[in-house]
This record gives sequence, structure tokens and C-alpha cells, in this order.
Amino acid sequence: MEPINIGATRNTPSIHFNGDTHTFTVIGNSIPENAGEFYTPVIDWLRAKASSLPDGTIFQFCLPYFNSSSLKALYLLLMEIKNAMDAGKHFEAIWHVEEDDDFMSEAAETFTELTGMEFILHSGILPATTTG
Amino acid sequence: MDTNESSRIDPELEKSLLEYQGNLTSDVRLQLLDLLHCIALCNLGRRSDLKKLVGIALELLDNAQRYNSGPEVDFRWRIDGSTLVVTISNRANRTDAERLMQAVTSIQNMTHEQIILAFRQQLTDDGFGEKGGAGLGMLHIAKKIGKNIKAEVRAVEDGEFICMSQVSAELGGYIKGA
Repeated sequence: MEPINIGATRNTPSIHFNGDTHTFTVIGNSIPENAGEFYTPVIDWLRAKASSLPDGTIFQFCLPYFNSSSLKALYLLLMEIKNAMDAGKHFEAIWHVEEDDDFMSEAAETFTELTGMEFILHSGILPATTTG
Repeated sequence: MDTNESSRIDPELEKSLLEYQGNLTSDVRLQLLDLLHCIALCNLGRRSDLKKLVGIALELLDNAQRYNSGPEVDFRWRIDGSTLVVTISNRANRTDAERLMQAVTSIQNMTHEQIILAFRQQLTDDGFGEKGGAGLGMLHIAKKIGKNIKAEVRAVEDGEFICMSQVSAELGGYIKGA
């Protein structure tokens, strides 16, 4: 499986797909000026590849801060995952939440309501990697 | 007996003010975000809505950076008593100034349920604006804190406008988890 490997910047999260562990991660602050521009290649990658990812693939999200345009981009990204799940794929989605943090936990609730995806909530923040 | 008495916000710490006038780049926005997070944590203590409060400033800064047509912005974060007031002013062209006024006026005419519905519709619609915005900023704020949002637009020269956006959020009287 062709990997996706985007390093984190101070504005944007790291986005990786590890073909060995079948883990797709989005980690770090997501506050780009143009979220559409940043996320479109990732959404396109998922649109092309999600249906061929193996069952058991884990999607992990850890976004301490994000702006509302990132919220929209993340919705579009999650819908690609949901579409593959609706077509029969068995994926797992994990949403990381800092302890006692409404900002991150409400985002998970919003996405559950809007996409119909169930998220497993994990406590704690993951470190983003800066190398692409 | 009020069991939360010991965690009541110290009146002496109940004020904080950050003002910034100058260029608004992505780097400046990031530095302000870090600083505001620190200021909120130091003055309000650890609380579950801390990042939601800082997120209000982030949305206003985001909007200002996206639509600013002038050399600088004027940003102010002020906690006074039980209220956080975040204000930002920037220059904008007529189209963007009118869009701001329309967004805020529209929110003022909505019920909370309508705001949530409009937020969801805007979030799930395809596409972004030509400047990369999602049209969600003010709706996202209103969904969190209600309709305490004001906007004023003043014409200056050459078809340009000064746009002022202000959001007020009630903080409540107690520090959670302090």
C-alpha cells in the first residue's frame, strides 16, 4: 500500500499511513490558513485507497487545537472513511482527548452525530512527528 | 455550605488583558494562540472549557488573517470579572465586510437550535470559499457561547472598510479541576 507521510508543522498536523501496522494517524494542531488546500490531497488519497485498506485498519486522531475550516476538512476526510465502512470495511476510529477538555471531546461528539461513526475515546495527547 | 468555595476564582486574578496591534501572519497567530493559552491557564486555572475560550480568539484571528486587506489588525483579549471579551478589527473589501455583517446579523436572528442546524449544514456542505474559509467561524462561536457576537463596519477610503468583531463569553464563577 502506498504510504502517506506528511510531517507536522506548527500550523498543521502530521498525517501518516503506516502500511505495516495499518495505522492512519492525524496528530497535532490543525490551524492552517487554508485547510482545504492542506487536506485535499489527504482526502483524495483516502477516496482512492480507503476501500483497499485492510480490515482492522486503525484511524487515530489527536488534534489539540483546530480551526473551524479544519473541522470542515476533517469532516470530509472522515466521510471517506465512513463510506468505506458502509461498503463493508471494518475500521476502528480513535479520537484522543486531553483530560477534562471539552474542546476535543465535543469535536468527537459532533463528528459522531454528523458522520454516524463511533469513536473510541482515548485519554492523552500523542506527539506529532515533524519529518515527512 | 459551598464546597467549591476554595476553588472560587481569586478576584485579583480575575483580570487579564492582551492587546496586539500589527501584522497578522500565521506565525503571529500561532504565537498569540500559545500566549493566550498560557494567559488563560494562569488566570483562570485548569478548566474544561479553557480551549473553547481560546478557540474563540483563534476563530476571530483566523477570520482577520483571511480577510484583512490592510497592513495590520487590532486584537484585544480581556477578562474582566466573569466575562471574556475578544475584539478584533481589520480592514476588508466591501464583499468581505458585507459578508461579516450578514453572518452576524443572520446569527442574531436565529434561535440556538437554528444556529446548531446552520452550523451542521455549513459543515457538511462541500467546498471552501475562495480564500480557504469554511463559512463556519461565527457559527462555531455562536454554537459554543450563544449570540453574544457583535460586528461593526465603517467605510474608509477607496472602497475599503474597517470591520470590528467582538465576542463576549460568560466564564462562570468557579475553576473546574483546579
